[in-house]
Amino acid sequence: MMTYLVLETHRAYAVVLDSEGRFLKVANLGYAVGQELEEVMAIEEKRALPFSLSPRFVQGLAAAAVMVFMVLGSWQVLLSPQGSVEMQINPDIMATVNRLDRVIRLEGLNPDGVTLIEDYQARMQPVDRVARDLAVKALQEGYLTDGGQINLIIDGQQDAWVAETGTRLSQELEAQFEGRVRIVILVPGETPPPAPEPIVIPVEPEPAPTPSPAPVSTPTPAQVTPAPAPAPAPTYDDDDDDDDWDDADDDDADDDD
Amino acid sequence: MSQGDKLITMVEEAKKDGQAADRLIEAYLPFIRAETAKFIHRHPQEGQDEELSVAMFAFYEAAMAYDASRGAFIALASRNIRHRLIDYSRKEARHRGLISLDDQGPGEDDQSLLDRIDDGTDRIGDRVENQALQMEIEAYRQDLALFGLTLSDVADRCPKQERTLKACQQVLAYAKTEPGLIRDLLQTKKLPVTALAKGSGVAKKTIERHRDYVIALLLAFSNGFEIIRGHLHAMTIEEKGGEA
Repeated sequence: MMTYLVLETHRAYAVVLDSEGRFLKVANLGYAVGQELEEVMAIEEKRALPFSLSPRFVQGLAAAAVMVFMVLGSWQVLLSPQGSVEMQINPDIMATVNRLDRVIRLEGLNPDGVTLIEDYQARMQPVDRVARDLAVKALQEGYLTDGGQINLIIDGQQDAWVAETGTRLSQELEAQFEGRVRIVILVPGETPPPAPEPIVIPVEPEPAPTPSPAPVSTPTPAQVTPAPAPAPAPTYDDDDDDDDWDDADDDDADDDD
Repeated sequence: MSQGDKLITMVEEAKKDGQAADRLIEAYLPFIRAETAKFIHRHPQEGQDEELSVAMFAFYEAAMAYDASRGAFIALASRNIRHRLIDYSRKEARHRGLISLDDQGPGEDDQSLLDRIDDGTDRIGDRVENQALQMEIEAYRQDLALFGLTLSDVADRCPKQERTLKACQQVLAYAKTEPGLIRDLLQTKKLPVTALAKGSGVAKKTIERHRDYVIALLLAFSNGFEIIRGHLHAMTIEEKGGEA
């Protein structure tokens, strides 16, 4: 069994030596020098392209691979699910997503969810767009209000896809609603946190005035306060705001170590 | 210098130096705490909530991977923190329902459950051995410093590919048959690359590229580091004789 000897600790990481002779940087979860561990969270590194492969060559290789991929029956891949995205707004909906992050199936999980997705064409749309469109639709139809909450439950076989999709969708929705709606990512099976309770500040009633001899007064007409004009319905800019950070490409090329 | 430029400078310095990395983490601890709080829905307590340690590590990881031409650092750090915390919570879900031996048992004293269990181990002996190990590790660290190396440097330059790791261990196997080589290394503070390449059959280029790791390995197998060597129980070093 692999074990790890803690050699040095820093604020955020520790350097360990594993029993096969590798020196690694791992998360420092309160370790002490000399401690022996059985499990660590090691740093994930981005691999650089080897100098002998130019980016143009790799692009050409990728294009050729895509062609081969399509010739070999890509339809099966396009239709096979990679994972699912559940949005709990109450209505609740679930989108099944393929390897290209496109929706291959959309279903309402409760009667309001079924109503919400009626007449919405989701098939082969990017899941980010579908999540945003349905959240906006929920707001417009009164299911979601300012101060409300959307729970996102992402499930799939690849942990990295689950984590990345959750982060991306949550940022997409946060940018869409500009803090008006709370976005919460849940692990499948996790109980959602309670929505924050409104803060109520009690106001003490004013003391009753001491009675004074009633003067003779002419009655004044009652003042009618006009009802406030209804707030205009919010319009949401549908433009995609690109995230500053490009999603990292997965570099599969090996270095020449 | 704008706040953004100052941050980029701090991140670039943190990539090169462990202490600069520690300073970066300290400076951005409020941000890291806030990101953690968003995930766990309460204020994290250092020393109690491992999620905060995970978030600090994720922030450090983002700093190491950051490329200024690809976007804002804080956005990357935020995403990476979330990614790591989700990962961590999934792993922890497997341990739900188990109690830690470090938890306090029933009763008013401060004893943990581990303290109460008599498992027959020699606690005092373990403590003495641990002190000896810490001293050995400190001596190892100081020897590395004589070569201008830190443990963080060695970790950064440790081979990632299995075949390269094996190649470096092949160099070690040869060096063990030629004690004079390790003596020369300690005296001259120079790695005898040519002799090691010729004797081990590993390409000079490979040894050069991973010289810091090879130095660290050879040092671990020099005198005085028995406990560290004892830890390397899974390392298979096939002794190889020198080639004519």
